[in-house]
Amino acid sequence: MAAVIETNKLTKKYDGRAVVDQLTFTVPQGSIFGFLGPNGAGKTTTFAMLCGFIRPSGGDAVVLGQPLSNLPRHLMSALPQDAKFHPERTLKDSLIFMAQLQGMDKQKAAAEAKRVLEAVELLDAAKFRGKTLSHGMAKRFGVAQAFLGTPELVLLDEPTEGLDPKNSQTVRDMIKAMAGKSTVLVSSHNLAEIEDLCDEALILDKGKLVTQASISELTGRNQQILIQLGTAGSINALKNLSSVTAVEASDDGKSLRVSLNLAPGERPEPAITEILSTLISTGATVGTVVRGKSLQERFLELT
Amino acid sequence: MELNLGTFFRDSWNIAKFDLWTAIRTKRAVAAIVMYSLGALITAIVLVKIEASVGNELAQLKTVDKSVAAASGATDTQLETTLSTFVGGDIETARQILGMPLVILGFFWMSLTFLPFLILLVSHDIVNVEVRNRSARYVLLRTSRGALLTGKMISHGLLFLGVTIFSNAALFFYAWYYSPGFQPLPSLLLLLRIWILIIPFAFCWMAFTAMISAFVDNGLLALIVAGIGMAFLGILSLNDSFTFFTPNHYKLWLWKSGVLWPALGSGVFILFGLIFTAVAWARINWRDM
Repeated sequence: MAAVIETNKLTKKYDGRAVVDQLTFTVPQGSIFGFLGPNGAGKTTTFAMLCGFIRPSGGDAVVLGQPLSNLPRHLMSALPQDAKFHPERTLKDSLIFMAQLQGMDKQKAAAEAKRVLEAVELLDAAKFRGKTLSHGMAKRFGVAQAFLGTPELVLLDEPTEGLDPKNSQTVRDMIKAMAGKSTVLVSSHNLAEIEDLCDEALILDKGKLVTQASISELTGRNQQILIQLGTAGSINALKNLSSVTAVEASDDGKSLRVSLNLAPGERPEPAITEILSTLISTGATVGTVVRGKSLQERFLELT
Repeated sequence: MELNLGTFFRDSWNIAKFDLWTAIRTKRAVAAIVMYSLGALITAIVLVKIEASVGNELAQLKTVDKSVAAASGATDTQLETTLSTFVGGDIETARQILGMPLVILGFFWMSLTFLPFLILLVSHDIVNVEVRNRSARYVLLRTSRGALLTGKMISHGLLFLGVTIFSNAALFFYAWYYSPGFQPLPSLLLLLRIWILIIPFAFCWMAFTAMISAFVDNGLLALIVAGIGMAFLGILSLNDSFTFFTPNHYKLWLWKSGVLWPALGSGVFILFGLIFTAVAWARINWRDM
């Protein structure tokens, strides 16, 4: 799959300290790509460089086939973190202005402004001025402007931060709807959200790349299962199965972590069925089965 | 970097329109408009009264004694000579200045003296306010940094153009109505000439202010630095060795008679404006936004 973003040793230093340190990664076209990292990992700085807001101290990047010095702005959009809107202008005016800068005529810009305001459920607030917006409204407005037109690449820095569950879901639905049409980069502290939304993610820590992989690789969805038992059974029977490489049990024997032995591309469901049948045949009762580790567990392991 | 001129100017114009409509809703812009218009109107009122009073007395004197008229002619020549020392010894220019209706002369002087300060007050954060609150990022996602600077400068330029047109019109009609010897057509042409000369002059100082605003992020500090910068250029213009490197030196050329010197003066102001704009542009292009 072609890469929409390719960075090569991208670096940003402030006062000699590297905030982003020789970052090299690629973002595949059409993916919903997660950007993970603890506070201060360099996520926002990397976004700012990819959007052309700040200049790299070293390295380079190619975005939609163009260098950072000549970004194809008409093909990309973003939700920058902490950027303020014009306090004296209405949401509708601001959106029409932004759409016109994207090359739309006034009529089309007005129609687009209405569409995106409706999508983030802010149509009733179209005549509110920027200075009167609550945090949640401002965030939704930020998301709305990022979805003006049909950008090929959308960069969203913490799109659901500070939103209530309903609005968060609205934004997630909007992002999911972009799948296949655009490439979306999402940075978030909400790991469950990244796990739910993204096909692939990278993890940053202290400005350095820790890992980049698909979500299923990161969580080990095809490599491990976690089984919670109601009644413990015999784990020795599992060790003899060809689809199992290792079994770890808790002290009471009711929590099992089973490592799978699958060929590349092989579906894990038959192996899981075999494991559960074997356990049940030894008298165990099954409570829950979770494939892989949660992204949160992996994130904490890696950072 | 590729530059599509059509897109550049379209974006600059869109930014200018948006920024102008935003600016005229701010208290500072309204205060500036009121200050300048009020200043022009008060100048007009005072000068019309002075002109009327002096004119009446002179007329009375002239009718009483022809020798007084001769004396007044002598006084005019003396005045021309004295005035010419302020305009580089150019008698023609001194004569032109003396021939101007007092109210228009006052307006021209007021504009050349106070317009830079008004520009300083209104435009000192022309760039940095957008950088500080990062609202520039919404624009820079969609267009170039150069278009942002150009759009903001067009917007502020249009604001000052509007202010000068408004105060010009107020002054013109006041003088027409209250000044007995006021000749509307020659005065209108003179006002138009002055107005054309003020545009490059204002552009130069707006570019200077924008340049400072591109370097200094804090609004108040930018105001102070730009104020000090203007004062420094003013002081530098008094030094014979450095005067040619300051825009202030060429202000005198705008007063001169004929077309050549005022045109050259305007050209120099445009050149200074372009240099300041280029520095601001370079700074904006290389800085983090």
